[in-house]
Formats: sequence, C-alpha cells, structure tokens
Amino acid sequence: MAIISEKDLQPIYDVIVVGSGAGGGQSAYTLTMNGVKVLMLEAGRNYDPVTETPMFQIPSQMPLRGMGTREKPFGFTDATVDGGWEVPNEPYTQASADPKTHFKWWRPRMLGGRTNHWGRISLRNGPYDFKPYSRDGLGFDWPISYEDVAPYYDKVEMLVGVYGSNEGLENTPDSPNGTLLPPPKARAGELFVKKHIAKHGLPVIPIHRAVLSTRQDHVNFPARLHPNNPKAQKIIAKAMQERAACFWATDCGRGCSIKANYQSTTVHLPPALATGNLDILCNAHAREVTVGADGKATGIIYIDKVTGQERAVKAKAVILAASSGETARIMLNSKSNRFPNGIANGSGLVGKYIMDTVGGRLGGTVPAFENLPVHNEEGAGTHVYIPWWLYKEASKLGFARGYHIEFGTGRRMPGMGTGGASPGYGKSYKEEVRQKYGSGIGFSGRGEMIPNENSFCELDPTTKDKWGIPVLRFHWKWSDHELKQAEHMEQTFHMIIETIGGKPGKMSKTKEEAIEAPGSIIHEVGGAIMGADKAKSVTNQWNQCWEVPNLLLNDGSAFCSNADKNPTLTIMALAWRASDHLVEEMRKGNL
Amino acid sequence: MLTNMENTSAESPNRIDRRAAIKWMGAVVAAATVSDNLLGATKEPGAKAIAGAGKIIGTDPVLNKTYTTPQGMKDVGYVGNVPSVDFAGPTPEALKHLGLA
Ligand SMILES: Cc1cc2nc3c(=O)[nH]c(=O)nc-3n(C[C@H](O)[C@H](O)[C@H](O)COP(=O)(O)OP(=O)(O)OC[C@H]3O[C@@H](n4cnc5c(N)ncnc54)[C@H](O)[C@@H]3O)c2cc1C
Ligand code: SF4
Repeated sequence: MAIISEKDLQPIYDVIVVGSGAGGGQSAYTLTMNGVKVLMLEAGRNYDPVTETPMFQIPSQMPLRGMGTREKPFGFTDATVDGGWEVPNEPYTQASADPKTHFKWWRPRMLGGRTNHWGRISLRNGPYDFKPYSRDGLGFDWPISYEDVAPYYDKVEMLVGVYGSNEGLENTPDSPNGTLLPPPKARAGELFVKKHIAKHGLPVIPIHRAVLSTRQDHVNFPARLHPNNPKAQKIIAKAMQERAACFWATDCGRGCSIKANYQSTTVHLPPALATGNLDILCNAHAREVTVGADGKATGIIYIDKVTGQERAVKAKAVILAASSGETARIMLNSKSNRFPNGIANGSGLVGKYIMDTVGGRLGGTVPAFENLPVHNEEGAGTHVYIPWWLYKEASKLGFARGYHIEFGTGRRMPGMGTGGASPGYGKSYKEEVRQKYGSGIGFSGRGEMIPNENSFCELDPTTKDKWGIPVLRFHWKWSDHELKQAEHMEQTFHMIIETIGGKPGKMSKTKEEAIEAPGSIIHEVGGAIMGADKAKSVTNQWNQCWEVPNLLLNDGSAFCSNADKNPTLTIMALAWRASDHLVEEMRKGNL
Repeated sequence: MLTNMENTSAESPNRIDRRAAIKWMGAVVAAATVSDNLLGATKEPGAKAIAGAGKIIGTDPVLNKTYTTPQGMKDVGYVGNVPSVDFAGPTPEALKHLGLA
C-alpha cells in the first residue's frame, strides 16, 4: 500500500480517513500500527517536505523577495501550497454584510494540511481546561478530564518530539520525566524581558514546541508508545532514526526537509505507510458520507479533482478530519432520508459553537537592544513564552478565562523593508540601520474564546463550489469576555514594553479594535461538540457520533471549549485515544 | 514590527497576514525600524505592510530591498541561516550589553 491512484483502490477498507493533517495523520498512524487497513482521502496534492522545502533561501533568491501575495499570504517560502484565505473555485460566504461578523477561513489543500507550516507550539490543556463550565458557569464541560487525556499527551509528545520543560505551574501540566526534549536557550532579548517583568509576577518559561532539539530516544520510546506490538515498535524506531535534530538555522514555517519538526507528512505518514496498511489518495475531495439502511456509515463519495468525476469508496468505519469547518460541511452535506439535516445531526448542533483563539498584539522598539553584539539568534522560532499567570485574580478581571503571551525579539533574517521603506544613502544611513536592526519586539496574546450561540456555520442556501457542493456560510459574534480579554492583552503588552524601557506602538482605541479578526488566529475548532448528553452534543467522549457510532470526528470539530493552549497537541491526543477505542470496538465486533 | 503587520484578507490579498507575526517572527522582528514613529500605524485601513518591514510601505513603488541580499545581510550584521549543532544562545558580550551577565 502506498500513495495510490484511483485504479488501485480496494473494494472495501476497514476505515476511511478524510484529511491528512494533525487529526487525520494521527488517526491513520494509530490505526495502521494496529493492523487496520486504512484509505486516506486528501483533497490537496501530494507533498514531500524532504524534496520541496526551500530551507536556506534568502529573500533575494525569491520572487518578490519573499513578500506575501494572494496565492502565498505568508510569503513565498511558506510551506502552504494551494491553500490560503481564498481557495480558487471553493468559496465560502458570510451571513451578514457587517465585517465584524465575518469569519476568515484559512484552508489548506495539500498532503499534511496545515501541519506543514503551523507554528508547532504544542501546549497541553490543563485540568481546568476540561471543566470550564464547572469553574465559572460558562460554556461546556468536556465529558473527559485531564487524567483521561494525559497518557495520550505523553504518547503524542514522544512520537512527534516536543521540546520544553516542566515548571510545575498552575494548570500548565508537567510531562512525565524523559518525555520532553530539552528546550533551547532563551535569546538575549527574551532573558532581558524575563528579568525585568519578574517583579510584575509574569513568568517567562520555555515554550513547548514540536521540534527535535535532540534526536528522539529510538531505543526506549517505541516500547512506551506501542507496548506488546513488536512490529509497530520496529517501524517507529526506524522512522525516529530517519529524523535529524534541528540545526538552528531556518524558518520552520517553510517546513523541514530534515524532518526535525512535526509535520504529518514527515512524522505520521511515513511510518503509517511502512506498515503496509495505508493507501493515500490525493486530489480526492470528500463530498458526503454515505449511509446504509441500518443508519451506519458505509463510505464516502468524493470528487476526483483532476477529472472532476464523482466516485464512491466503501469502508466499515469513517473518520472525518478535514479541519473542523470542512468536517461540519461534509456532515451537513450528507443528507439522507434517515438524516435529512445532515448525518448525525439529530441534535441540530452540527456547525454550531465554532471557536477561534482570541488574538491581540502590540509591538515596540527597545533602545537597550540596539547595537547588540553580533551573534546568531536564528533557529526554531519561539523559545520561551508567558503562560497565563492570573488564575487567582479571575474574579477581578471583568472577563472569564485567560491567555498566554508569545513574543519575539532578535537579529532575525532581514526582509523587504528592513532599513525603512526606501533605501537611504551614505554611511550614516547604514550605521543607523545597523544600530537599530534587531531592536524590535513583538507581543501576541493567545486567549480562550467561550463558545456562543451566535458563532456558527451552516450551508449557504444558494452558493456552491465548482463541483456543485453547497458551501459554508458563517456567522460570528464575540462576547464581551473575548473583547475585554483582548483589551487586557494590549494593556499588558504596553506595560511590558514600558517596563523594559521600550517605546510601545500605538494602542487600539476600542476593545473591538484590539481583537484580531475572527478566524485569523487559525485555531478553528468546534462545530460538532462532544458531550455527555446526546441531546446536547454531536459526539461522545470517544469522538464517535452519537447517532452513527462508526463515524468519528478526529479533528478539532469535537472540541467543546478552546483553551488558550493552541489546539493541535490536543487534537492529536484525542485522535489517538479515539482511534484506540475504535480498534477495540472493531475487535469486539461492536460496530 | 508586529504592529506594522496588516491582515491579509479576501479583500486585500496583497497584504501579509498579521498571523505571520508569530510564525515569521524572524523576518518581522529582524526588521528594526529606522524610524519608529510609524509604530502601530497599520491599524489604519489602507496602509500596506510587508513582512519584515519596519515601516509602512504605502503605495510607494520603490521598495527597500537593500538588506535582502547576502551583502546587505552582512552589512547589517545578520549571521543566521547557517546550520549549527546546538543553539549557542547569547554570547557573554551580548549578555553584558543588556546587563544580564
Ligand atoms: C500559520 C499557522 C500557524 C499555526 N500555529 C499553530 C501552533 O503553533 N500550535 C497549534 O496548536 N496550532 C497551530 N495552528 C493550527 C494547526 O495548524 C491546526 O490546529 C491543525 O493543523 C489542525 O489539524 P487538522 O487535522 O484538524 O486539520 P488540517 O491540518 O487543516 O488538515 C485537514 C486536511 O484535510 C484536507 N481536506 C479538507 N477538506 C477535505 C475534503 N472535503 N476531502 C478530503 N480532504 C479534505 C485538507 O486539504 C487538509 O490536508 C496553526 C495554523 C496556521 C495556519
Ligand atoms: S529551525 Fe530546525 S526544525 Fe525548524 S525548519 Fe530549521 S532545522 Fe527544521
């Protein structure tokens, strides 16, 4: 089995996985390591980071010197191919003309999805994050607790490789000894911030990122990952040895040709393919889940994007992991006599409670950083961050939940516009640029959004994509919790920049201005939430649809809250947990 | 600067996304401004910013690419983009410069 073309499709598979990103990659990995025959359908093209990543290119070697364009919003060398805020022939719509209600939808269309270029920040949800309703009466509790997920966080961290440290801070879980890889040293500017803001009670600690700061322990990890499964141990031990450690030079957003960071295409899919149990079909856009007379899922109808032909494939179970919005869309488009409003949508909750992360930002310049003695500050993006530090003050803040702070400093690769809008002349100009280069600092807040009734998606009654498939229409409204949180972020950043003697950028005039546009943080989750009560949720705690137990939702769609912890590590942990459960149910003959 | 990052959106596709701020912190922060009176100005609609730009570019057709070449990088004292076994961290001189030694 391998990356196949349509003529090689088997008549029936054990499981079809739709999507090849974090959720789909993890699902395929777990299933195939357990001997399950899997077909993965991916709407985008095949993509190989080993041969396609422009690791060392500098802007003068790139079209437009690396600037962003419509096709390449994050610049020329970004790993994204064929994806973005707009995807040709695949529109989405907004319910209202008011821009404040618009949801920006970033969609990948490539093997590996967004994991090829994501930020690799990999934080565990803490115990509070699974029980937010119990703590403040807002949103929903998960039907699982931190303890249920912790063993899967351990496994995912070992499998993908995550650097970080254990700090013992509130609701910021430690990992078992020997699970994390050592964190890289903090940069000069990061240490400077740490020293000066300690008096305000803000901790600056190593961040957790899915980057191999050292090579993985290929001797001990395999047995911890796959006890009693010698074949799987052998495969993953080999795959771990094929990954190099980070060489601290390039931009992870381009992807990593030496496999030192996590992307599904370098970490999940190669070992899954090595089992011989995985077929991957690219350019296959799933349109709907088919259902049998017994109400169970029987397979997928997809469009071959190359020929435009519609095809059906069959399986005993189906996993949707097409990114939460697209998963909701496929479900809403899967209409049958049994499920007139979309598959597994008896509750009417498919598409409801979509969430992004609350974003806020402020930059500044710091005179102390000027003329910093020359040294290398590149390599593996973020090294440190500030976790949410005000749990004890929650009742005084005027908003619920919290945020963490990511920030950047340093003498990083110059780009277009370094040295001002237009070139200056003479020695003094060059000296000034040299003096000021590297003196910038930027802060970004990443906070928790509470799910609400006014933020949802549904099928647009008229607009269809190129293949005639109804598209999503979005509705959005922040609550005051999010708006106030964004305002608080900006005030905090302003305070930090002043504390380090810097000159902060301009503050927003209103809290509506302080918050980043809905969708722009690209942490989309929700739309088919899990719960303990089948009338009030779409899936159970195993990501299994209540009404269709052989249909699983293994991306962020089943999230019923969106902690400030960035969703991807949790997506993978839950996908592993759900896939383990699926294997067991299949063995027992329960599906 | 981060504050100079504008959202790319369906309506203004030629802008770099501010989401890139964190992801591309490298290019962004590298671009220390020569004139910092423009900090934050991109929150005004219509201004265009560029990854790595410390300034608003506006509609100026002449973009500053001085520092995107190997020579420019040398001029400014950029020494990254070269593989090394470990991340060495700040040098003793750099720490001293910041009063951290
Ligand atoms: C710039 C950026 C930075 C980020 N940084 C972080 C970070 O630091 N930390 C973090 O936790 N998260 C981060 N994220 C979010 C992270 O990328 C996602 O949470 C994660 O990739 C979600 O995995 P997924 O499997 O649900 O979806 P995706 O990775 O989006 O994969 C979905 C796949 O499904 C395919 N697909 C879609 N529709 C169909 C269809 N109908 N049929 C077949 N296939 C289909 C897509 O082509 C895609 O390959 C970032 C995202 C971006 C864009
Ligand atoms: S910094 Fe390290 S992990 Fe990131 S792309 Fe470069 S080598 Fe790979």
